[in-house]
Amino acid sequence: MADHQSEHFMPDKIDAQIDASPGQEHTAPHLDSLDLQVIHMLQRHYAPVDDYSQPLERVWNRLAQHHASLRLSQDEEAGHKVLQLNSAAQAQASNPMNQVARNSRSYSTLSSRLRLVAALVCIALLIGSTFAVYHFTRPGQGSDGGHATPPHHPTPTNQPTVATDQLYVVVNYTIYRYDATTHRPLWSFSMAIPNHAENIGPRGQVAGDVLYTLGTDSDGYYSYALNTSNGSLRWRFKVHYQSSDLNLLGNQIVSNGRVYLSEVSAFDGYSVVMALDASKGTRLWQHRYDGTGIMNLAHPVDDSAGIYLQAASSTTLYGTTFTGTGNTVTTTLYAINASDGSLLWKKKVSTNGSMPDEIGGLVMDGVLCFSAGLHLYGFDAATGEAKWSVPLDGEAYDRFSALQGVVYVATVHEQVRSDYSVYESSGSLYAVRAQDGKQLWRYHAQEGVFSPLAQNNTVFVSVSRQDGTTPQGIVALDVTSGVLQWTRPEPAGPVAGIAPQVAAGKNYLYVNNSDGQIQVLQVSDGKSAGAFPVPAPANGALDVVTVLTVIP
Amino acid sequence: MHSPQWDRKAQKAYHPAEDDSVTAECYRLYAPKLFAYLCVRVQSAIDAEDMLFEVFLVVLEHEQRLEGMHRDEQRAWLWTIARNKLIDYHRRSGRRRMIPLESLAEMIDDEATPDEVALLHEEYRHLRAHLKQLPALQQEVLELRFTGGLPCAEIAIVLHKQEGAIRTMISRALNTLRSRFDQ
Repeated sequence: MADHQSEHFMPDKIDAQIDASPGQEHTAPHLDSLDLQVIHMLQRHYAPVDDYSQPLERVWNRLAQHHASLRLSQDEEAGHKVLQLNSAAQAQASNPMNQVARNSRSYSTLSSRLRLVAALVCIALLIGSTFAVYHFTRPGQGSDGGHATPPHHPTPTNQPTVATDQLYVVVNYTIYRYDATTHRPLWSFSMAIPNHAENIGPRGQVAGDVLYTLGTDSDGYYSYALNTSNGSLRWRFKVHYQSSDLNLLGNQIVSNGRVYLSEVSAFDGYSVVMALDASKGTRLWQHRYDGTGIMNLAHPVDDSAGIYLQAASSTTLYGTTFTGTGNTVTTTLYAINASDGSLLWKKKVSTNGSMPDEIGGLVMDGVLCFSAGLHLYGFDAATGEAKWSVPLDGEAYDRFSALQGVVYVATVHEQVRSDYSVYESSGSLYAVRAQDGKQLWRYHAQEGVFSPLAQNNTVFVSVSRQDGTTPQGIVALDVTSGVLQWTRPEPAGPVAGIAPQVAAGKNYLYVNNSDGQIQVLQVSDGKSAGAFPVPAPANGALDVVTVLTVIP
Repeated sequence: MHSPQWDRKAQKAYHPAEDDSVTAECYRLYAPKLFAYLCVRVQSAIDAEDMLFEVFLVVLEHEQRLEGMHRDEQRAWLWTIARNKLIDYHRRSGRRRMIPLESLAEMIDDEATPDEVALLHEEYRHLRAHLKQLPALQQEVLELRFTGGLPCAEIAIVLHKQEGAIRTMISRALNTLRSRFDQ
């Protein structure tokens, strides 16, 4: 062990010892040849391995472009300081190297947008099943806290139950409710933007007459509950996000009259899981869990410190941790008492060394399903025993959809080109029976497959390559056989960097867009039923039109 | 201070032309090292580019603040921003893969003989194995020291630790590595 080694490297001289230039080692005290060898090996090991001039140029040009767009808006404000960045991108348009740089920058932006969209959009299609999700596995229970009583489903479904579509959209930190019939906004709710705001990727859920979502204000991040009738604030609850040692982990889960949140102190290795009363926003319970992983960048797996909430049933909240280092990495499943936050049980489970994905899982037919790496897993929701696993051909980016005991999982397989650009070379939609993990069918595409949505007899997905090298489209498949029902190109044409996200009402699909449009397709055949504008994202902003949810 | 290879690479890096803004100066001075640091911490070079872009967006927003800083303060501030971005990236991405140490190519002299190359490969294989066995924090500290070129005082700022603790940590890590190679 290190305790027994001789002290060749000394704390008070360590900087000088490391910085001893080749040929001048004698100036560094107490270094023998082996000491120098170790230092030189480390220097070589950590030295950059590529010529970084091109990526650095690309980044600089992006900054210049960003600054140029910033100036456009700032020029209108007198006295605003204008920065002195050289806007090299335009001036060097004819330079072939810059052409490459521009293309790469463009992809970088796309990449950013994709991640942003993947993180924030994930259109939460809770069609009707907002109720179902809300009251997931809640047999025999009545209404709760004044919320509407959900229709009883033997299994959670995404079955539409009412006639008038309600469409909730977020653009530039403002939530809009649209009347999908008239395409007019009914109300809007603006949220201030905190300094260095990062979009935390809200998912919307409607339960009864309340829309639940994460959002912002000038002083930080909040869990919001808005009245769906007029957009007024019902309550809000401040969450820790980039504001203290605690940080919100993942999205919130709304279920069974409660809003669940998990915050992590990654450096101190504990998580705080809490439940709010969904009707009032008051904290019902809060429980600290120690030993949930300490984040340290030197170990990849430790980055996942904290309990990530995967799903909730009426009695149990499920979370996962992924901790350890090297060959001792462990996925641990937590079952938390939904009524008081106490630990019911925790169990180490195998996920083949992969971290459980943070897209969230679900509980169906007594089985907890979530994905990790290239597998979909099913665990006994009562005991945590592994029931099955299904290999996937790519990673799941979007939240699952579920219908009548079947889980629909969309995957994306990425490949890297020689210029380091990443593209979605293929993807699939899997239909897997929750009870036994049987793969019922699989739809394969030569693009990434996103945004699965199962409804009635159809499951919808969008297929896309984010670099626009193949047309983007919406695909409708028979929910039981996977047979293609129809496919349509994305109505507005390829939208660079954004996988179309599909939200479904009773008769129409709503497809988000980056140009301030919501495209409308007929559910029956995919034909266009028009489009309607929503406020476009700010010029140059990475925000996109985000459909929080649609309530048929 | 750094290996010749590093200096050679750094000189080839893109220089924001004739721009005397603080952002440009920081970019010239720190972007190559920051990029190298980010490259081994994210999934792809494109992610590292995005993250470097984000770091310098923050620089743009805080030019005035940076103007009043000494170089060492600037460097510590930048690495703190970068590290926070990394943490957030890994916390939020849901894709926690990182480039494994095994995939990092080493810089081996083109003129080395096959035997020398084989020997170097063997040594680096051992180095990687030994590095992996170090405590996580020691690994990170070494990375900041050797990839970022940060002295102990600045690493202490980035990691919110006492400088003495960082000095001890690096010394201990190097002594451990040395003892393993001595065996």
